Amino acid sequence: MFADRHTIPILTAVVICTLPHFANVAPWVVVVCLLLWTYTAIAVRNSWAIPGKLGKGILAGILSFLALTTHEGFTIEAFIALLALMISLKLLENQATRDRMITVILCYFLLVGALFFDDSIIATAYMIFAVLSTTAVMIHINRPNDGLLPPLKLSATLMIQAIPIMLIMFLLFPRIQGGLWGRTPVNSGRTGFSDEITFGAIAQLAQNHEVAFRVEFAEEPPARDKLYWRGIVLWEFNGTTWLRGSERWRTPPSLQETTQQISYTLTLEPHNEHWLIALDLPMRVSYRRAWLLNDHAVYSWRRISQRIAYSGESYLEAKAIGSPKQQESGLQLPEEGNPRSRELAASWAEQAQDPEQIVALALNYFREHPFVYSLNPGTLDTDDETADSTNLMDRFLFDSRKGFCEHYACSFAFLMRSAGIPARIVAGYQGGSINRYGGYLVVRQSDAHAWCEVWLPTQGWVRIDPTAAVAPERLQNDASNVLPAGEMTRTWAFFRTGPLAKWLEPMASAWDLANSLWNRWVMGYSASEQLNIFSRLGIHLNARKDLAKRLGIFLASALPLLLLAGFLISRRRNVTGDKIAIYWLNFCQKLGDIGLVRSPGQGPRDYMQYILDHRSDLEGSTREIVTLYIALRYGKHAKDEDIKKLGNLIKHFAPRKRQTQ
Amino acid sequence: MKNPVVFIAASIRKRLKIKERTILPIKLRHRYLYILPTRHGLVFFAILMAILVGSINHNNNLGFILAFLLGGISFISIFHTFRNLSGLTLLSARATPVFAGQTASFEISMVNPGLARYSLSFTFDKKEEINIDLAAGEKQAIIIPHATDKRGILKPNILTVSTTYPLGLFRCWSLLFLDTQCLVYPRPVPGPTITASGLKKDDNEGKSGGPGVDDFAGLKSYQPGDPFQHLSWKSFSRGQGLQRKVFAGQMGKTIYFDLAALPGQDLEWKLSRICHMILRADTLRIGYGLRAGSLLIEPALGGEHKSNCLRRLALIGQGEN
Repeated sequence: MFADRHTIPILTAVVICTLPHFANVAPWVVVVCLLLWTYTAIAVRNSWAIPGKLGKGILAGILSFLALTTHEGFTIEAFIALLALMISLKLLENQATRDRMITVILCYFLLVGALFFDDSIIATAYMIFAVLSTTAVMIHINRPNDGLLPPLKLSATLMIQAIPIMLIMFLLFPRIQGGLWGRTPVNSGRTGFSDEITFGAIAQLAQNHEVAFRVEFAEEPPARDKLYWRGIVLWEFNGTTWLRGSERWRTPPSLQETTQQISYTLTLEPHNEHWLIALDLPMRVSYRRAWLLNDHAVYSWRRISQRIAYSGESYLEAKAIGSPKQQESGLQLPEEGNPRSRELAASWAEQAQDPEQIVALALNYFREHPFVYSLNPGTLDTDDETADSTNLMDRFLFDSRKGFCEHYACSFAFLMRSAGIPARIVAGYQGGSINRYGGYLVVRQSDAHAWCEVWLPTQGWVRIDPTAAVAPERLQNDASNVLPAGEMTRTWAFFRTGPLAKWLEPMASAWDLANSLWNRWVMGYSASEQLNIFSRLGIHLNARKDLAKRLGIFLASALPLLLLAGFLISRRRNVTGDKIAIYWLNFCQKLGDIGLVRSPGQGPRDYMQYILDHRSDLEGSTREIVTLYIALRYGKHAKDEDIKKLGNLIKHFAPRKRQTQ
Repeated sequence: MKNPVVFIAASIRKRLKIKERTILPIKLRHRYLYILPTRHGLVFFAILMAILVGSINHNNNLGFILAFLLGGISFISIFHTFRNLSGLTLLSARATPVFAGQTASFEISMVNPGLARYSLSFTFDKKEEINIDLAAGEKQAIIIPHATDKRGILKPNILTVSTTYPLGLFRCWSLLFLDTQCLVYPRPVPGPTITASGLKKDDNEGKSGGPGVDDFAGLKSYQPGDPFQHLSWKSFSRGQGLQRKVFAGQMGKTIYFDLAALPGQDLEWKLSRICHMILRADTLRIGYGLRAGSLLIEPALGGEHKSNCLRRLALIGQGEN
């Protein structure tokens, strides 16, 4: 039967430890977990019989199979889904103490899975809360009589006592740069950066105000409209989508023109792609196994699956010299499609004297026609079912004329290529906002942007931002602020323009600063920070060679702390209850240890006589203690100070075994 | 699969070779206490190691925090477990006699000189555990069962006092070889009643053929141990002191149970038979005496007489007569 006082607390622990995973596992896993939990809760309430083993076995088999097949094999998500399902299923078992303990211990394991997806302050606070409650449930299993409040209190005590140990271990435990054998990539689609562009790809991001990266400039940050953050460069157009293309040039890039150098440190949130973000135009990015390609995109050997920080140097307004091969790739177009656009481009090429003029004509086209900057351009490819999706450019340029930055960039590049000018698309971010307390720049997903670069014989690759022609205010503002009034999300509108905006904005800044500091100092703590601490203490170590030494330092500093903690906790507890009796027991036991055992029923006087018969050398102290004990035990009023005196006398009473006899 | 911790515990016990019995009272202090992880503790540490290795591999600082927090909590729990047992004071132990085969009950009184303790477990044989909580300063007596198999003086097995509170990851225990004992009477074996004067066919005939217990014969002065229901309250109220009624059955015919009168060679079986006869006679309130070799107990009746006879039976050949 389910009417077991342990089931509900364990169910609570399971729920608490599973909840953070709901965002990362397949929806059906969430539904099955919720069903199992509800069933358990109702079964406990109504004292239902426990379901049979066979049914549960079959269910477990089916669920494991589904968990593996719907999460792309042996990924972290599949593992978490499997664990969550099995723990939830285990609730349906007739549980002995042993099963209960295993369930709760597995809850801790489930908890760690969540940390691979989110390591923010909130996630940390939730983790601490989850450990607190899971530990309380564990205590409750071992002390089922007093309800859940005393276990919660003890759980909190244990945690508070464990925190100093945790801190020392965290600081001193030898860290290894780069991990042991590489990490399993996390699948869950992080919204944000993508390595291809279609119409509508970036518009999705405009509503996403998650932080993409933060930047600290060595000096004064450049003006907002100069902040183009270069991500990926797209070379290949297949008719509907702009792709990276197959070529990757590793020859060092060269600049035609250099201006002022800008140095900065960038902390990039994970996006699960290979591309690092850098201020346009980057010349140097220092990150392990990341290279600056010839088109000034920065490629990392590993996918960015965790937050990273790197420093970079860039030159605003610099222009890259293109190689002949780049010029050739910059002209690639599909065989057919978008005839009207091609025609338009051809007419510009005819009437213009030089490429610069063609560019100017194209920008004019955007300016003079009624183009609208909008998140909701309407679906371009379904309004006419007979037309295939290869004529998207035509429809955008001549019919709908509503679009987001990617529409302008893609169509502009298409027009340029059609007119014979090498062009490429750069996807990244534009702008960012300065945190008023931290002084750093925050760039959000909503700042995602796409623009064009065209190759002009006299200048090299020149950045052209067609969006600026349509909505020049975009460069001064967040994309969402430039949008027509109806397209701003309600919460964001409330946040930015509502009556509380005056207070909310500073709060948000402070919170972002807290997150930034947390990321930098706590989550960013690594081998190099650890070595810095050691070298400040005068111990200079090498990350790779001195692993044994670091381990030694760790053990040498952690062990005394652990022993101290143990000593403090296991100190004798305050005597309560019948103090006189307890002191007397201590006295008898001290004598018992040297062979003078008090026989049962032997009164204090007889016992004293017995002691003195054997050990006359103990007379003074024994007589004093026994007399005081008798007076306190059998006298009418025992004074507190006398009781204390008895305690002290007995505490310092230290009889020794006789050396020779 | 054998739990390695159980194995270590067993080898510790072997090495200690506890021989000396402990005289109560005893306060459980460091030198009496052992502590090792439980089976769940081992599973917990395996998972902790998995978390740690995962954190090292992924350079996940939050993973490190979780691993070290859990490690810290389990480490701290060692001392809480230890403290839960350390200082507990066992005051005395006693047990009332039982018949062989019955479960002996050792009553152990204890006092908790410190703060409250939870889930203390006491057992002689690991099968039947007694679990108690003790409030701060509380004095309590508990009864711990102990199996018996043969008559004589039962010296209890090693008493295991243990606790896994609070987390169940560590077990702290103390092994006590208590200097206490329990008298175990022979196991009663039913059969025909055989007295020294000859063989009676069965118990029923003995009852119907002999003088009835209800035939009042006179008064005797009270001896401690005489049956309570035979006291003469009338004479007591007349101020003649406490007297007991004597019945014809007790006066007229006394029987002797003689070890030598029983057939066979098996001493234990004979003792068991006599034990049963004594119990019958006592229920039927027939006075009886006991002869066993040089031992002779004059016929009498009453609780004290019965205990005395049973005790003598229990101790025959045990060198403690």
